[in-house]
Amino acid sequence: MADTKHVLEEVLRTLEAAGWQKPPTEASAEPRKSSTFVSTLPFVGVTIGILSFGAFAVLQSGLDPDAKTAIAKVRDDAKTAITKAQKDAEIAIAKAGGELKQAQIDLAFSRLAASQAEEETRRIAALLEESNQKVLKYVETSSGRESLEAAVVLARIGRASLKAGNYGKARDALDQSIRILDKLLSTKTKAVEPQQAQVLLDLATALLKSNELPNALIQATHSLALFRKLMDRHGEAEALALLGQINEARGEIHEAQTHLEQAREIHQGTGDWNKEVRTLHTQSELFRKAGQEARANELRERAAVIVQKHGAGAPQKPPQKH
Amino acid sequence: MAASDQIVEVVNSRIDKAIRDNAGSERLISVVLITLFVAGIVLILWGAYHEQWTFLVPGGMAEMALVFPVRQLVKMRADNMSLQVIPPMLRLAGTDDAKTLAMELIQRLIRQL
Repeated sequence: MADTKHVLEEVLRTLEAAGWQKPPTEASAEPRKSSTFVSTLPFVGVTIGILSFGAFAVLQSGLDPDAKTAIAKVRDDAKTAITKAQKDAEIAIAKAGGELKQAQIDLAFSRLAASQAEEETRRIAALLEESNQKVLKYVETSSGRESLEAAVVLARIGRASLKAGNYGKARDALDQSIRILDKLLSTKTKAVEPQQAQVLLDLATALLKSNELPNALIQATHSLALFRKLMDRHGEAEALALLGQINEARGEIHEAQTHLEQAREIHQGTGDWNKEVRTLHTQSELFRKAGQEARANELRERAAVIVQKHGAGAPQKPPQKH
Repeated sequence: MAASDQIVEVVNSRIDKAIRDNAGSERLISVVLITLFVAGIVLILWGAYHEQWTFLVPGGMAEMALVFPVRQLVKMRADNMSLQVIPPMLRLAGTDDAKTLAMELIQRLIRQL
């Protein structure tokens, strides 16, 4: 492309050399400014670009505004119900000294509120599962069916199904996730291993809930080995607690107690008192079932001391049921 | 041929060459413009048909990028008009006053670019 300004200057010089007179330069002559419309075009372009990326981000999140509002509402409801349950429980404990009967009634009410909270948690999980399915569709298109991102979303779907009580669905999603992670292990070891450990733990939980105990034991052991390799203390304790539950379900009470004790020690070491109390309750329940009431009471008392030490108002989960 | 006519001929040939060069660039920019437009539209329509909404982003960006070739084309048309005005004006500039006015006009065009 010819530079027009340069050509015109060349013409001017040629004519000047040929004796053409140049007029005196006008003092007022200002260079022409580009029009406002043209100068604002880049700004308009950038604004449209930003808006497009905003819309893109919303689409990528895989959640439509309605689902987000519904989840927020359900979450608020669950929070309210849980708070109510805790308050009722606190009142019940306070009354337990002289008015045991009233305390039992209050506890019954608090359990009812807790079950409502549980039901609402399931509703949240179902909504999350639906949203994650949308995200999975997006991830499969953008990163491929067998990408780390797809495996992560499948694991999230599995976890949501687990919380919603759909154990079959949870197993399918977690199985798929594990298969993808296994394929990616040789190339992306560092990114895959933590995911794999967690997915195996979730898969073992789903298998335990479906009463497939031998398989659950294998997956939980594998998960424990991975968490130990990664030096993830929290994960290790979770895997040990799960192994305790699996062994309890298998009738291997001694092994269950060993695993639970190891989990409790880790929780104590990491300062996770809430989980320590939960593990103590599970251990106590095990001893009670085995007819060792004295040992069961001792563990319950230890749990109560820990709760008291950290404040009665702090959240405390009830012992896990299988 | 008078010396003045020779000078005008030299100037005219230089301007003709500049206009020819611009015509080539204009065709190239038009091809880029059409390609961008078609690519953007195809991406948007394909994305909408397959419900792959992420395709709207590159499609929209391609459509936005049309601004640049369009601006370039408009500028080239304006430049060509400036250049095309000069040859007839120089041919008509017989007197010294007319020559001075022609020189003034060229200076003005340079300032406007």
